[in-house]
Amino acid sequence: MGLREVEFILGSNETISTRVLVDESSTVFEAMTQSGLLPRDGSLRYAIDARGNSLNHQTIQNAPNKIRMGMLKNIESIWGEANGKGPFVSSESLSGGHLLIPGIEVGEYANVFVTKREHNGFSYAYRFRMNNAPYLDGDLVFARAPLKGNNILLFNPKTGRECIRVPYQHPNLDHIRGFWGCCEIQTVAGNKIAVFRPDLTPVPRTFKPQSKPQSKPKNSNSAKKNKLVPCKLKKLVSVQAGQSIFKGSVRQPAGGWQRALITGRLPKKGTTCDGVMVRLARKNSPALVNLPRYHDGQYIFMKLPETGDSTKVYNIDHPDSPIKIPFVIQPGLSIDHKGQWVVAKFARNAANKRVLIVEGSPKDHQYCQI
Amino acid sequence: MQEETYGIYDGNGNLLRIATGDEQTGQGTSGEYKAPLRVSAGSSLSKTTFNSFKLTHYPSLNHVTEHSSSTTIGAFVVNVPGVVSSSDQSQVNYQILVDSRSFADTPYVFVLSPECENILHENIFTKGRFSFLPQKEICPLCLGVGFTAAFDNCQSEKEKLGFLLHHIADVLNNPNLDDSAR
Repeated sequence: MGLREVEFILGSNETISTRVLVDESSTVFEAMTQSGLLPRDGSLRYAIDARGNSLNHQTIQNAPNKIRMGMLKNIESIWGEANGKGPFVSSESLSGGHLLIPGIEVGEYANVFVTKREHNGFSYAYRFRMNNAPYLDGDLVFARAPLKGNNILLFNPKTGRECIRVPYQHPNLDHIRGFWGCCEIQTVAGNKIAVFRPDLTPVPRTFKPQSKPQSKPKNSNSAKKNKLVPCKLKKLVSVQAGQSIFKGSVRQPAGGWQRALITGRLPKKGTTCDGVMVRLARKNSPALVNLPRYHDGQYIFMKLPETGDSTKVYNIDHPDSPIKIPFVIQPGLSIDHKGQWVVAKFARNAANKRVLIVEGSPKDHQYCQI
Repeated sequence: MQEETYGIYDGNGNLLRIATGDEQTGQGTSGEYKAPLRVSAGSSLSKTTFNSFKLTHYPSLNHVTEHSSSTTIGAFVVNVPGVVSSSDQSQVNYQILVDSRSFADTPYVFVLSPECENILHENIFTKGRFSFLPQKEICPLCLGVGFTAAFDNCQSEKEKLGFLLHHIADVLNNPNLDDSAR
């Protein structure tokens, strides 16, 4: 095997990059350790492809020339912040979401995998380890009792996927199928197993076991709202360079193309993309469309709620679970915009969490005057 | 932080001129006195510098709200991997608390976890109570005799923070038996 030069780019600050010459047979993770760009505090970083999947376990031979380093969508490095109910400690994710993690201490720094389970505004996560074995005896994981068979899949930090198959142990598994709860990792005859802990997460009497994946009753309205629609950007008439608001047209659900104001990052190729149409076009005003991925400094259209200080934005990874983001109104802007469509910018607050800064309505915002 | 600039003053404290050339390094002449134009007021670490490290090499950096404002960081915690002790090189995560209320001076560094009883590292003092965090017993970290001079030599705040974090990791990974703290 020969040597190959690859370039690593830091996702959080793309001006930082480095080139390393590595053996083609080594894995991307091994090459990453030589790049000098890995965090020095033990925090996780993954080499990720354009779709956000981990490349860590791939060989350099099969890796792209430019490798972006960042975090996988379901992984967080968090500090345990406060004791919650039972074995749970609460924390906050980088995007501002609330997490509950079993089996960690307040003040402990841990890498966690965020499960699909959400309840009362909290997402549930469990800790994994980076040194040697990802799960040790006594560790608590938060998992769903298998709907079929008796195995569950735990997150594997090496591959970045849920691919560690462990038997789920409960005396009456059929009675709790589909139930989300805490399991303790134990070793039996040299193999890891997940033992359900009813003392930590009791099964409600009213719980009905599920034998097959439940199809969520979809609200036809929200499904319609969450559906991505095709749009076309007129690149040359972007309102202002770097401002992320563009003129274009969008295909409305009822059919036909209508003029639109589109926020977000330009597609790498072509002028077509899929966006979330948050408002239909009217006689005197264009449709409002948000492209589905967000970055700091980007504008977005949102309807300012009448009450509360947060809004929900489309989540392309989980369309049925929008991302809750707090907003602040730019000083000097009238609060009469409540209940109206406004233009807001993604920014970071003092705690480095994402917030939206409301800058005005599309009618009077300087970058929407087209 | 800028390099220190001196002024030449008369006996009444009036500024005569800015020190130039040899005056900057030499002694003042008779009847004239050399003194720094500005004296550091002991400000906290700036949030901008703090965030630049958090977003790159130290994602675990987390400010302590009680000691911080919207623009300054008076105290922060960070996770730093190190070894258990000189005789046990297995890795352990140390939760470090840094008092950065006066970041121009040498900051005090403490270990919040593991607990004192579980620490074997030779350069971590046994627990005590400090005015900085009186409600909790914490273990100061010995940064070595040369640290203060090296820290003072750092020209910018960014350089100081980078040096501090790197030095903490260096101490925690290389226990110095000649400078035993426990």
